Amino acid sequence: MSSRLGARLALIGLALVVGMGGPLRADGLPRPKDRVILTIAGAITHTNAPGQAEFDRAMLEQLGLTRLRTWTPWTEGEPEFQGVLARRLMAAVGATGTAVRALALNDFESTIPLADFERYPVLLATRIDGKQLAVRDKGPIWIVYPWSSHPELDDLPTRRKSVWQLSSLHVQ
Amino acid sequence: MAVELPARAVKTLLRPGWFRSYGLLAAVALLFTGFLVLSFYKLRQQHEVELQDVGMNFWLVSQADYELQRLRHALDGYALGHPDYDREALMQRFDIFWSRLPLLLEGTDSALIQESGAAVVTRLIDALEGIEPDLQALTPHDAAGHRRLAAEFDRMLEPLHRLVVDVESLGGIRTQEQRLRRRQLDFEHAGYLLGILASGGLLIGLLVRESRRTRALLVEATAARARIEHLAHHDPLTDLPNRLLFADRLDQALRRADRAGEFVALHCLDVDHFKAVNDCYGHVVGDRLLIAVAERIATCLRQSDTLARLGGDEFAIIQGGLREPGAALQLAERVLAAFGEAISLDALRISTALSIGVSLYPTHATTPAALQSFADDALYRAKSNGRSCFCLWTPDGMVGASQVPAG
Repeated sequence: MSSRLGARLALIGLALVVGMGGPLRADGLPRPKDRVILTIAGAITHTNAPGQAEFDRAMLEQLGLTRLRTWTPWTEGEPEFQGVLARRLMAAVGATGTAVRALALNDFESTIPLADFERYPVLLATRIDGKQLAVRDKGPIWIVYPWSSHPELDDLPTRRKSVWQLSSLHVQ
Repeated sequence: MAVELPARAVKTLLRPGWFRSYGLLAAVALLFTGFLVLSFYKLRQQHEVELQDVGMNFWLVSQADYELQRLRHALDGYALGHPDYDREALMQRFDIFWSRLPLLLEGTDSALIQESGAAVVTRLIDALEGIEPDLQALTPHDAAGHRRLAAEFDRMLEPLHRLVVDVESLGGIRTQEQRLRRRQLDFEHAGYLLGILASGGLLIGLLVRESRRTRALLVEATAARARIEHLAHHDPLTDLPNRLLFADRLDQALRRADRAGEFVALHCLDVDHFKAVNDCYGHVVGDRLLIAVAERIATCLRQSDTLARLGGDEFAIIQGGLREPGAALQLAERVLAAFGEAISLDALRISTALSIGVSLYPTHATTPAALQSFADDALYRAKSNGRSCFCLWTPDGMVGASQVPAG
C-alpha cells in the first residue's frame, strides 16, 4: 500500500519536473522558424522540443560557420566546405555522452565517438564552395573530416563516419 | 635479398660435427618458415589492394541501385495515394537517388567505374533531368503518368544492374598505377613462392641425407659391435672359439646331455713336439701349422661338435649328444688317423701328430671343471705313453684304450 503511494508521489514529482523543465530549457535554444533539417536527441541538456533539440538551416549556421578545405574520397580536387564545427554544436546542446549515432535521410547509420570532434575539426558542412548543399549534393548536412591535413583518416572507418544527408543525431 | 655470409660463419658451417648437419638444417628450416610468412604477408597485401579497388566501387554502385529501387517504390506509393508518400517524400527519394550518381563519376573511391561505366552514369543523370519536371507535375491517382514514369525508372535499373555485375568482375580494369602496383605485388609473391619451393626442397634433401647418414652409422655400429663380440669369444689366429666360449659351450652341452640322458665326451688335444717346430721354423710357420691343424681336426667333426683353441698348441673338442661312450673313442681314432699324412706348408712338409686325453660325462665327472681336469690327466697319460695316441680317463690309473696310428 505504502509502496504504491510512493510510486504515485514519484510520478507526480516527475511530471512537475518535466513540466517545469521544458519551458526553462527552451530558453537556452531558440525555436526553429523554418523547416527542421537536424534533430539532436539523447544525452543532451539543452533542448527546444520535448527531449530533443531541433535546428533549421539558419539556426545551425548562426552557431558560426567554419571553413575547411579538404579532399574527400567522393569529390574532385579540394573543395572548400563551410559549416558548424561538430564540437561547437555538441557544446550548444550540452552533449554529455561519449558517442553520437548519426542517421541519414537514406537510413544510413553510423556511430561516431565524441572524441573525434575534440581531436579533429570535424565539420557539419552545409555549404560547398559557397553553395548550399542540397540533398542532391549530399546535403543538407554532410559530416566532413579534415582529410587533407590528416592523412591517417584515409581508411574505411572514417569513410563510414562521414555521413552525408545527415538528418538526426542521437547522443549516447 | 642477397645475404653475405662472413668467412668465419662459412667455416663454421663447413666444420664437421653436429653443427654442420643440424645447424644447416635449422637454418634452412628458418629460411623456409621465413618465406612462408613473407608469402602470406604478400598475399594479404594483394588481397587488400584487390578489396580496396573493387570493394569501394561495388559499394557505391550497389547503393545507387538500392536507392533507385526505393525511388521506384516511393513512386508507386505516391501514385496510389499512400499516406507515407507525399510529394515531398517522393522528391526527397528522387534527390537521394540523384545524389548517388555523381559519386560514381568523381573521387577516388569510384576509380574503376569512372573507367568502365562513366558513359552509362552520365546518360542516367541526363535521363533524370528529363524526368524531373514530369515527376514534379505528377499527381496522385494519375495512372497514365505513373505508368510512364515507372517505365522510365525501370529502364534505368538494367544499366545499373549491369554496372554492379561489371564492377564485380572488374579485376583486370584499373588505372595504370594500380596495374603496375598489382604486377609488382604478383612478381614479389612469385619470388617468395619460389623461395618456399627452393628452401622446402633443400630442407627435404637435407633431411633425407641426414636420415641416410644416421642409418649408415647405425649399420656400422651394429657391425662393429658384432665384431667386438666375435673377438671376445674367438681365437684371433684360428678363429676357433676361445676359452670363454668353450666354457659356455661345455655348460650348454652338459645341460643338454642331462635333459636327453646322453653322454658328452671332452677331448683335450695337444700337438706333439710343437715347441720344436716353433724353434726350428720360427713363429710364422708355427702359427700357420696351428691353423692347418685346426682345419684338419675340423674335417673329422660333426656340425654339432665344438672345436676350441684353449691356448698355445692346446685344443679341445666337445662332443655332445652321444648315445654310447664308444663314439668318443671312434672320434679320437678318427682325429689321430687324420694326421697320418704330413701337413704341407708351401714347400715344407711337416709330420705332425697329436696326443688326446678323453673324459666322459656323466660317467667320469659331473661338473665341467672335474671333466676338464680328468681330460687333462688323460692327455698327460697319453703323452707319457709315447705321444701320438689317445687315452680315456679311468679312475684307477687311467689306462684305457690307446692306439698308436701309423706314421
